[in-house]
Amino acid sequence: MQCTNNDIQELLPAYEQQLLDRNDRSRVEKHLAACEDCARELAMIRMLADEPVPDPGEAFWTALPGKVYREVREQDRQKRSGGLMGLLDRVLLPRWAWAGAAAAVLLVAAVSWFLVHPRPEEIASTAPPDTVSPYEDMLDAESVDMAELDDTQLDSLDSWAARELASLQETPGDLFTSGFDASTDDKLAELNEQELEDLSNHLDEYEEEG
Amino acid sequence: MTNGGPMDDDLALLDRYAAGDREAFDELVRKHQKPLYSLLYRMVSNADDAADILQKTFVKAFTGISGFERRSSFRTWLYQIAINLAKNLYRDRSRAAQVSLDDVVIRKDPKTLENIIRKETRERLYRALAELPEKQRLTVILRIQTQKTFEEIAGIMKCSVGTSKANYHHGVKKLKALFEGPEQGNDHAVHE
Repeated sequence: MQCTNNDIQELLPAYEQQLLDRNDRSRVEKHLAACEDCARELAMIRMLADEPVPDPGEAFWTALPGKVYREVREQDRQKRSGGLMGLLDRVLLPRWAWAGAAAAVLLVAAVSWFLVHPRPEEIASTAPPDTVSPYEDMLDAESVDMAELDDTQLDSLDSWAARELASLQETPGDLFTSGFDASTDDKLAELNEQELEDLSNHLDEYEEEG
Repeated sequence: MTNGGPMDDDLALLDRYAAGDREAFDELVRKHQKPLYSLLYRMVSNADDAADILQKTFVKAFTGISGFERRSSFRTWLYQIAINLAKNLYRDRSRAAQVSLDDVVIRKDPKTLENIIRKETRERLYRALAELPEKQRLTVILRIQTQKTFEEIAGIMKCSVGTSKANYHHGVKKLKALFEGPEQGNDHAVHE
């Protein structure tokens, strides 16, 4: 027959463990003497409580705090470095992005260098000529005594002057022709005699008016 | 049973550990390692698994110490962590593992028939325990095998005291039925 005295049954584990005060212990013992179901339950509780637990050994117990401590430290360290690495992952770019960024920097640097520094052609146009007449320096001087020059120096001076004058003679021609392009010549060629006459008259009037 | 003293001791040790006292850490582990191991072994029925989960329990407790709000005792918190880890393992292995008492019982007096009968009876009882629904099984283990009060069990299992008592009664009734089973003739052995 099953017992329904929950109050007593709840006390059985504590009774088995000898944790009850005198009154409760006495109450339980009275009930057990009359209740076979609770006596069987107590026997079962004793068997369960006595279940042997294999002891891992003293070495295990001694080493455990140290093992746990090292593992806790390691996990804390990983957590911290994991947090830092996560931050770096968000900040850092992948390798291909780094390569692209490096290429862009090099390109900008190269373009800047060419913008700031003159090209070789510009250097050539602004640089003094390779062959400078010794007399050019003399021209820069306050005075030159021509009587002191020997024949060779005079010949050199002559050829230099001829070269310079030739370039000067070319300049007006260039300036003159620069005002008339090929299309102007073509238009003049298309004018008939009367038109040319009229144009000539106009130019004369223009000159007279100053 | 009162928890006041041990709880205060644990909190004081935790404070010392937080202040960098390594000895306080060791003391906390030493204090709880054996009772926790007993519980774990009874839950998973395997010494290696119990030792493994024991270490994981402490590691999890100390790495997550900031999550311990001191509303319950440190011991209750440890038991909650240990039980959750053991539950996961137990679920994985279902009820495949059975308790083996062999060496422990037989080594004492291998030749006596009494011990052989006792061993068989025990094995049947532990098989019956393993077949209980999880909450009932855990409540029975905590109450009978680790000597926890119903109040402590309620704290560990996050339920009311009434629920923990109900789980206990249901568990014990089923256990008796499963244990006695068709072979009622073993009663005398149980009563020894």
